[in-house]
Amino acid sequence: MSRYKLFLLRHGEGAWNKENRFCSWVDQKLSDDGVKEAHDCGKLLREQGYKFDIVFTSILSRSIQTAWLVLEAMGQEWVPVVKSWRLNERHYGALIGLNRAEMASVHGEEKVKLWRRSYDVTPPPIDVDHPYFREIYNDRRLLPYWNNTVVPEIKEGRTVLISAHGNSCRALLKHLEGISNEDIAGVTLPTGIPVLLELDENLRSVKPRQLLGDQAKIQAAIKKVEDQGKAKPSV
Amino acid sequence: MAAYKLVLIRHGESCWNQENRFCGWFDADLSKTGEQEAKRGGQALKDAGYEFDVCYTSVLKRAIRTLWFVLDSIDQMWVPVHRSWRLNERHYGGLTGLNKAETAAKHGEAQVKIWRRSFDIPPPSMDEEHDFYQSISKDRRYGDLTEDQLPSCESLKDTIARALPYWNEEIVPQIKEGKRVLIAAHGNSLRGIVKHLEGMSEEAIMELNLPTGIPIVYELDKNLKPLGPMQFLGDEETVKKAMEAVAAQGKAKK
Repeated sequence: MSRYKLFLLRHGEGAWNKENRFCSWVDQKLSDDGVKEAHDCGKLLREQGYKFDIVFTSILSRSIQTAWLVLEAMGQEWVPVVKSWRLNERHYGALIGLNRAEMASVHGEEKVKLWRRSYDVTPPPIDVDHPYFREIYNDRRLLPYWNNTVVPEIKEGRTVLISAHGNSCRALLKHLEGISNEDIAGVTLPTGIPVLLELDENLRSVKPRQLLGDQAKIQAAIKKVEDQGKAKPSV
Repeated sequence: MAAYKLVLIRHGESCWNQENRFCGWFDADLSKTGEQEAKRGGQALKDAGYEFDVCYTSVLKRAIRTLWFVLDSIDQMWVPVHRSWRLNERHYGGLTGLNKAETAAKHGEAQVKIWRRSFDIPPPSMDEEHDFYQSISKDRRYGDLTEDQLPSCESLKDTIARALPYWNEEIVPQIKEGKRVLIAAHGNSLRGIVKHLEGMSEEAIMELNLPTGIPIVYELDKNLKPLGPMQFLGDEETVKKAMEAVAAQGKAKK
């Protein structure tokens, strides 16, 4: 019996998504398409009559910008927004800034898929010589934050929106739906599509997650994300 | 020597400002001009290299969106933002939605003058029959307010009385911890803070109209007393105009 509703949203396209580069902790803003994705998502949620009580985001601008655009479209700018680094996109280490398709050409699609989607394989770590090291670390993790900060809000009966990133959302899904370490590799979240979870009083999913909106559009969006890992010859 | 710096910004033109209607707690959006004002204010803060640790705003979108434009301009979207009804614009009660001409026609010029000149005489209440009663008084965002707290109208005195507790209990402790604070709010809620900071009289605060879309900076000593008058940030032309407009207000009596 569903008692709570929780929404997850993966932010839309940033400049580097367009270029198929690992963005991770580099703080990019949304591209024009990403802005549109967020706006459309907000419009959909408004049409379906959803009302949020609280929103959680990472401290990366693209997830915050997404949340703001969604709230604007819904006329719910007044809803509290809470930001934490613990919802940040996964740290891709030395891969940050590199192009996924080129990586697939160089290392093979399987290796890249492993880095992107496996549960516990870490990419090569970033070091101080990396071109983006300064940018990330001069700027001013997940489950403790979930338990200490988000869960109490849900249990108070508040409708929560988490506006975050592909991997932080996948990590949450794994926890809520009890997905195995092997099966999580097969889970891809499309961008800009709200994911509705209905939870029982123990915060476990009572039914499969629902991706809201036009289903054909959603399938195309999922494929788009998966295809980023396909090898393309470098130009 | 300044112990602290505080920045205030009053939101710019709303769609209702354009129509010259009493807005108050009606959740009007920024007009295109108002959006430009906010971006310009953000640019001024960016040019001056300001960094913030925490931001405060009301629960009305014209202030929140102004803050969002500013945070976007200065690349500090990640800074925590706290929203409170206590920083809302003054509640104009039964006058909400009326334009200048309608108000004069309905209540007479003399009564309007009294309301404009008075510190503590509120406008008529917004009753259940009012066009905006449902959309304002029954809005979900005010669900936690007690009956005593939820206004049906406010004088400037009332507005200040409900804004100052938030300033004292929430904002001041953060300033004293060394957090750099930005407040994006409305003409009358900001008047409350300015009156308090500068120890202004009721007559003086009623004469003061803060410029819109321009960051207002106070340098404060360790007791939160301003070390000098408020400063405006922006290009030379904008700052000059704002200073002159404020100076002229004390003189003109309409």
